[in-house]
Amino acid sequence: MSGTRKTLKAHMGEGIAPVVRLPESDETVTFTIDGWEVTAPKGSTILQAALSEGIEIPHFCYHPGLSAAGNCRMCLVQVDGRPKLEPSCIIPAADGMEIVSSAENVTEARKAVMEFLLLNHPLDCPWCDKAGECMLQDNTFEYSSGKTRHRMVKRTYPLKDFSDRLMMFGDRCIKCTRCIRFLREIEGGEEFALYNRGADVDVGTYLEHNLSNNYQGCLADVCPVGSLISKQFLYHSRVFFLEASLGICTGCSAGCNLYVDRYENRVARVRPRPNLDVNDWWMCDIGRYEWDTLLDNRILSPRLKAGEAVDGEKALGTAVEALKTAGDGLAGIVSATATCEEAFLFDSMIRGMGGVTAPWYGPQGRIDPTDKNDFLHRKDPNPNTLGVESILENASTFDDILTRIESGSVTTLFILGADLTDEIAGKLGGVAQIVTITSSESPASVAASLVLPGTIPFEKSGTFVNGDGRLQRFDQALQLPDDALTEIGILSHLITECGTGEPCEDTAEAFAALAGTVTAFKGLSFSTIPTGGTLLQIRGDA
Amino acid sequence: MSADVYRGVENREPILMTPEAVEGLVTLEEYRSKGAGYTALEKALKTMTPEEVHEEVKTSNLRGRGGAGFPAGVKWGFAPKDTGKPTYLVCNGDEGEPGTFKDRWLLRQTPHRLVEGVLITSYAIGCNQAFIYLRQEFDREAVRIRSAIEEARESNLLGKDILGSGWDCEITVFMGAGAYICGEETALLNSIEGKRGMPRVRPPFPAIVGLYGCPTIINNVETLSNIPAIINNGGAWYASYGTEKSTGTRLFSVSGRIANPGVYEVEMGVTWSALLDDLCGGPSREKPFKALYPGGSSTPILKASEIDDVIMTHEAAFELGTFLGSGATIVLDEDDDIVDVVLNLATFYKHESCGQCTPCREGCRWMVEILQRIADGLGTMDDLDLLIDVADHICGNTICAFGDGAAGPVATAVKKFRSEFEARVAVSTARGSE
Ligand SMILES: Cc1cc2nc3c(=O)[nH]c(=O)nc-3n(C[C@H](O)[C@H](O)[C@H](O)COP(=O)(O)O)c2cc1C
Ligand code: SF4
Ligand code: FES
Repeated sequence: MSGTRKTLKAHMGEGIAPVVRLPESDETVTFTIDGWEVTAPKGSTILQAALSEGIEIPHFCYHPGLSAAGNCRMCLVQVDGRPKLEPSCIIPAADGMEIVSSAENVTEARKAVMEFLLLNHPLDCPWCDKAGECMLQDNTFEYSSGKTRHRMVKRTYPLKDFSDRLMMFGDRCIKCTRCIRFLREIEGGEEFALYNRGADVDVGTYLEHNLSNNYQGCLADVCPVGSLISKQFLYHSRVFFLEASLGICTGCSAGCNLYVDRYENRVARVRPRPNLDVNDWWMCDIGRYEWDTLLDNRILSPRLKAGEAVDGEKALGTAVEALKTAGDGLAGIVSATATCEEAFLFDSMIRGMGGVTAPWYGPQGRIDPTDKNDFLHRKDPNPNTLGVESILENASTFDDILTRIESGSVTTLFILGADLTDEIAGKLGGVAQIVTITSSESPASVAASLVLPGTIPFEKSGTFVNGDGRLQRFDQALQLPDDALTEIGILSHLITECGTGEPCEDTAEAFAALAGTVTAFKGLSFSTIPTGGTLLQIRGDA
Repeated sequence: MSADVYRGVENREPILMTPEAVEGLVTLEEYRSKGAGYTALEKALKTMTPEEVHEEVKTSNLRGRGGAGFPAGVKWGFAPKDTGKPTYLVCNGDEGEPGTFKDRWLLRQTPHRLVEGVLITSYAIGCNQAFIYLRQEFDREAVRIRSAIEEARESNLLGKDILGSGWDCEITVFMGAGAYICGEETALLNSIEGKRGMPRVRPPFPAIVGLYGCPTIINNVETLSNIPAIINNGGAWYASYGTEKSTGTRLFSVSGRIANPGVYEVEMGVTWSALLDDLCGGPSREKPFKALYPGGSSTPILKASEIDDVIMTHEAAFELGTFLGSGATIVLDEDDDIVDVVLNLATFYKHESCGQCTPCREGCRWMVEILQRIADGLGTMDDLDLLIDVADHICGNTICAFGDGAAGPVATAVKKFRSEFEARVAVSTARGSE
């Protein structure tokens, strides 16, 4: 074996190092790259096989989720000693092939491509949002000669404004056509095209300001340079100051996997985390751009009816009192946005005190969590419909509880995360005690006699079950103030005080309690749920 | 005056530029009475299997006349049979290579012969729908081809159950929209499909995944125009013309500083001098030849001294580091300025690059920038090496052969005529030191 194995560099960062979908085939091919043996399913290209083995062949236009275009010419390698270099993103790997990726003719061709790409590049990294996660920057450091021999005026393009989400710094564009292919092959709208020819070639829409699809953020993601830029993130922060944690989108029942990028203790942006079983490399703009509605009308401290502030200890005491005195007048409503652990603790608490629990799906009622609006986005706006339902098996329905409320037999109502509607809240007049645990104001918090502040998903860890029955875990991105409790903290306190269960220190313990009780979760533990999630044996709608 | 003449060697008849063809075999009646019209098609359909037709063409060793010189019979063999998909034949009549005008001659003078060649080829490869792709400017040629198709249809030479054989074949004429790159075969397929005219990456090759994803054979107008004669007289007869590896005759479009520019048919293997001096009458301005682009602007330039006693074959051209390309010979004399010529052509390529792949898109523009400043007297000696370096970095690294065609001739010209480039740079150096 010769040479050192060029491995994918850590600087590419998690989420940038490509997750590759290899062709499905029972047959494999074995070949070598610079003497290193690689085995891949038949039909894999050289580049796919290399990347999936962690061997770096530099590239730009190849994106694992798109068809190979072969236009950047960065991935050229020598195949079986043929005199002409071949694009590794195009050539299928074959048994016994000998690929050379480190010889001088190959590195010289790469240097040439880098020089060509940088000829007209503005080199404006200091104020480019992509700096730090830019393939051009990375490959320049790694593969270019570091010098320029160009001494004419650089080609420039006007800034383009596509929508309130996306803009384009055309000077930085390397014409890899990833964006065009994304819209053609994945999103389906074909709004982008190449215009003009030769060195005047330009990318974009025919008319400005008319991009309206739900996947514009993905265009900024697939852009390997800082050309297509998400306006929400424009000049927001340098990416190398961001810290990423694993998240799950709460925008709908698809459960797209995310990176939650935070700057200090704020969310700077969310971006898709590739998961070939869920969202591939993508997420929709609703999830990407509307998460900040979670921050609207936050409830940050406990209060009694009509805004009367109350300290935390007293508030918890009031809640315990309400539970203990409820008798058979106790009912609970849990939103399908609650995590599995929250729903489980809440349900154990209500049932432990002799009450009944029902799920709340939102004003629109229950929607089949498998129904889609487009290739990703689902009609069910709840991230955890199937999770909550499998935990509340044999529970009551919301309509049932409402009937009981209207007949006056509910005296104490606990609400976890549900917003309710004004109309429903108007029917709660006869309920003596309404305890709402929620993160933001809603008809349910207005109607409450006691409001306990809840958290938003970024402030906690937990699990959701998506519309396909896949259990997925997410981590806490933001730190809470020292004295603040998550829902799990609150519920654990109430359960312990009422003597109906053991305290849970954290999500993992709550999950362990859940796994010990609910059949679908048997045998699982929070820390061993794979990052890509795991399918549960539960009855979906399909 | 243009001279459309056949240069045979002793006692050989022309194949394409027969006296009757020079006069014009435009109508079906003319083609039948004076050009053995459609006898080859009849022979193929009535007495030969498709495999036998294919075999004759292989025996003829007819090589593609569109530029790359790939053996037609071998190419036909690449189309898979029994895929459950139709197989298409596309005749490339884009004729965009600067200096080339021989396909135009064939389309105008012998449109039926092309139609017959397309039909026989379709029969051989199992195609029932062929296309003839013509460049946008060929409107008069399109009229001739279209009327030939209609005449053929009326005589049951095209359409359903051709000549009672039970075999159907349609030919559709498709007009391009004026881009040089659409002559490149895969860009041409995109163009027919209504897409942007950009070459496709290979693999897959068009013989396997071509037009509308179906197996497709693409051949040049001249290539296909030779098929009827090959079927009538046999592949061995055709191969008796020319040399062993470069068989047959070829049409050359000769232009530039030449006394009698025009289209000439020569047997492969005659000397360059036989074409340029004997047939074309030598230089037009009483200045000696300086250089020539032997096969079109995409083929590396030759010094006049390099072709002394050299014969015209694919192999001989290759040995000189160039190609016969599309047979477009552009001749330059002592008064022509190589820097201006190279700049002119580089500007053409910069404009025509599809812009898809990095080396060609950026490199073609860069070469023009460098050449322009040399021509403007602003260049440096370093620029000459830079120019060669840029050209070398384009060559071989692009999606299609456009990049090689654009860059190869530039590098060659700088190497072969370095003193002329240096003289231009010296002007700027002198000016700089004033
Ligand atoms: C940039 C470019 C332009 C081309 N233009 C033409 C053309 O105008 N006509 C043509 O017949 N072939 C042209 N070709 C060659 C075709 O790609 C193809 O090789 C040819 O049509 C095949 O036919 P043949 O094998 O009969 O020569 C061009 C190739 C390139 C790379
Ligand atoms: S070599 Fe030039 S013309 Fe050919 S694909 Fe690349 S950019 Fe287009
Ligand atoms: S990654 Fe292969 S050519 Fe761009």
